[in-house]
Amino acid sequence: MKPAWHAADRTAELLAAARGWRAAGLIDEATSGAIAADHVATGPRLGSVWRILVFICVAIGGTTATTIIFISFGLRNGTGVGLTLLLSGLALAAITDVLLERCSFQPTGAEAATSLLAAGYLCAAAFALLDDLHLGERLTLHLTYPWCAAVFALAAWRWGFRLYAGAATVFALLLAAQFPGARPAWIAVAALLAAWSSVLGATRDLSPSHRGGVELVRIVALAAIYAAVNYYSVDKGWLEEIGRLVGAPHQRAGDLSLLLAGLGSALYPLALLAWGLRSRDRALIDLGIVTAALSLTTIRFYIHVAPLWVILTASGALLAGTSLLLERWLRAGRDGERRGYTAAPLYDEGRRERLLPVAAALALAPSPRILPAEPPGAPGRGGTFGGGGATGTF
Amino acid sequence: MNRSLLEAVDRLRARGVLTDAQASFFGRIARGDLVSVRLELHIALWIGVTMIAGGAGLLVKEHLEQLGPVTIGAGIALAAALCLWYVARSAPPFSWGPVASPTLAFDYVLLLGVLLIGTDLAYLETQFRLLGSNWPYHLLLLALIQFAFAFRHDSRAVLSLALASFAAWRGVALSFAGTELFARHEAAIRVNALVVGALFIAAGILVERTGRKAHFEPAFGNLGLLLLLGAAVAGAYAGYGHLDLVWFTTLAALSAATVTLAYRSRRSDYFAQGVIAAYLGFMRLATTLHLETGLFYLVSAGSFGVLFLILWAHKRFKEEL
Repeated sequence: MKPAWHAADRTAELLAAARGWRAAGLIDEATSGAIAADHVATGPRLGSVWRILVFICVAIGGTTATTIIFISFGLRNGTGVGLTLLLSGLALAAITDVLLERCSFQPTGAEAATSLLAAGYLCAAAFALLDDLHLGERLTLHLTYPWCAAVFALAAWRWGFRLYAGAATVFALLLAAQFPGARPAWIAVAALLAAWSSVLGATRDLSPSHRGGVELVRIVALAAIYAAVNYYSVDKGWLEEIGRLVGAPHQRAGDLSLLLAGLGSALYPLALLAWGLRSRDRALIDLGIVTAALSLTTIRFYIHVAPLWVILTASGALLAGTSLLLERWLRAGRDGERRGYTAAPLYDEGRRERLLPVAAALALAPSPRILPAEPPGAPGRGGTFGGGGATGTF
Repeated sequence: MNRSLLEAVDRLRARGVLTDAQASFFGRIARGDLVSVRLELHIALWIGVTMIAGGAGLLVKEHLEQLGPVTIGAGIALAAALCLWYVARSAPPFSWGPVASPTLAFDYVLLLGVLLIGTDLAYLETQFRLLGSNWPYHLLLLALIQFAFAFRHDSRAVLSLALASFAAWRGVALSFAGTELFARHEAAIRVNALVVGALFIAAGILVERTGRKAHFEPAFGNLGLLLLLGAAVAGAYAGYGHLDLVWFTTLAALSAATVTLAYRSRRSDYFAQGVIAAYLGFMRLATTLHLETGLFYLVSAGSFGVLFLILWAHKRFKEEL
């Protein structure tokens, strides 16, 4: 990342925070205006709707332009395709640099599209070129995965797109799963990445985008550890399947592995939750809750505790009830907070809050009636009810 | 800890932009000493309500025989009544303007109550055949009940549900599951979608013009446009290789009108929908022309053409955020 991009990134973060504080009613319009006047952004921001439109147009335009190159030059063999993808990827990487450097709007969505195409093309180029050397599927993947991890890591570092840091982590994990002892290797790589990103995030003064990228690496790595210790994953040999050669036997988990997986499924989410609550880390708390829910689902899969409708209703009531009690407890604390936690908005959470019930309503809306011709006076055919996965007819 | 934000807060305090109290408060946020879990609480409520409603649906489906219609009907009605009793007890006075939710739970309990009414109504209608051959009218009745609750309690969520129920009455789904729009012989659904979409847009204009729940206009407008343009796109693509000129012309006219009107009224969300619909129409036309390699030139040029249109239009919108 260039120094000017770092500065722009920090300014954008502060301005976003100021907008959030204003939306949460923590500062008045005059203070918000003073902050904006004090920190002039590099350029006007495009709204999210516009950015999505620009992203779609550039992504489709870029992809079809590359296809035109393939067709025009009659490229069919691996070397030709690989080299074209390599050159196109490098060209798109250069265009991304230019867009970030020169474009008056920041961000536009165009740099996201060109960077994604650049990273994708560079990864595909490596696979095409290696495949053309007839090294065998296994060796090709052994070489492609680290290349992809490096490309995405470089893209995340250079342009600050945090999703690419997550993608790099996934490729590093996929590489680990290619070798014998896939599960321990997977856990070791994930643990190393989680430790590295935790230390880096805590000790270095990173730019907001890089901080977000490092945070995503940590969350993906910690989620990957859960994927490795989950009972269902061990039982079904998910991770071993990733690197299994075609025709090789499926690996069966032993009793000890399953016992350890049972313990891991129970204790790991609790450990994440405890860590998150102690360090006031929302991402860890969220991950702890999600993994706990997955562990409960795993238990339900193996042990028939109660009918599904009882589980759904009771869990739903428990979840809703707990969140309400928690909100009351936090609100009743001194200044509406307890132990560094509050239920009051600190940034612009309102927009997402408003969208959630609408999403729930649309997900649970009744199914439409079936229109085709009903003769006059035909008897009723039954209604529909439910939603959220429980839609049915009677 | 967010060091850059912490430094910025200190800088703003030194320049007098932030008071000491504000700087101290924002400093705590930047250091991670104060964390808001508001969004998590909302998500937990959202998932909780979804699970309860889903569980109620499953109960009806799986235990129809054992429990009997009266038990199930009365049980769900009681649960709905409890929810609505809570809502009635804590609801602020009615206003034609926006009304803030009195509690975190309010919107979700209201939504759950209304959802349970829907489940109960559908169940009772099926069991007792109250409407006979006119059974689909229970969806209209449900939509009217939901509209009443949405307006009384100023709930966008219940309004969205009401619009979905109304569309369901006409055989149209407001979700992506409504793929029947694309089926070749489902022109009736597409025509219904056009009419319902137009009706929603008209309702949106009405609430805005009269100033009564004017803030509901985006919900009416966006869902209406989604149906209107979605039906036209589906019609243009439903021909299986053969371009249906009537639907294609409809799509062209609707998307042009949407883009023009949205441009004039500076509505970026509507403008985006119009541009996407026009772009999909253009792609449909391009695939019909059998240009082979030329198709890619056309699509590529079209994409960059639309890109320039968007950037040009944006200058007029001058939209921040």
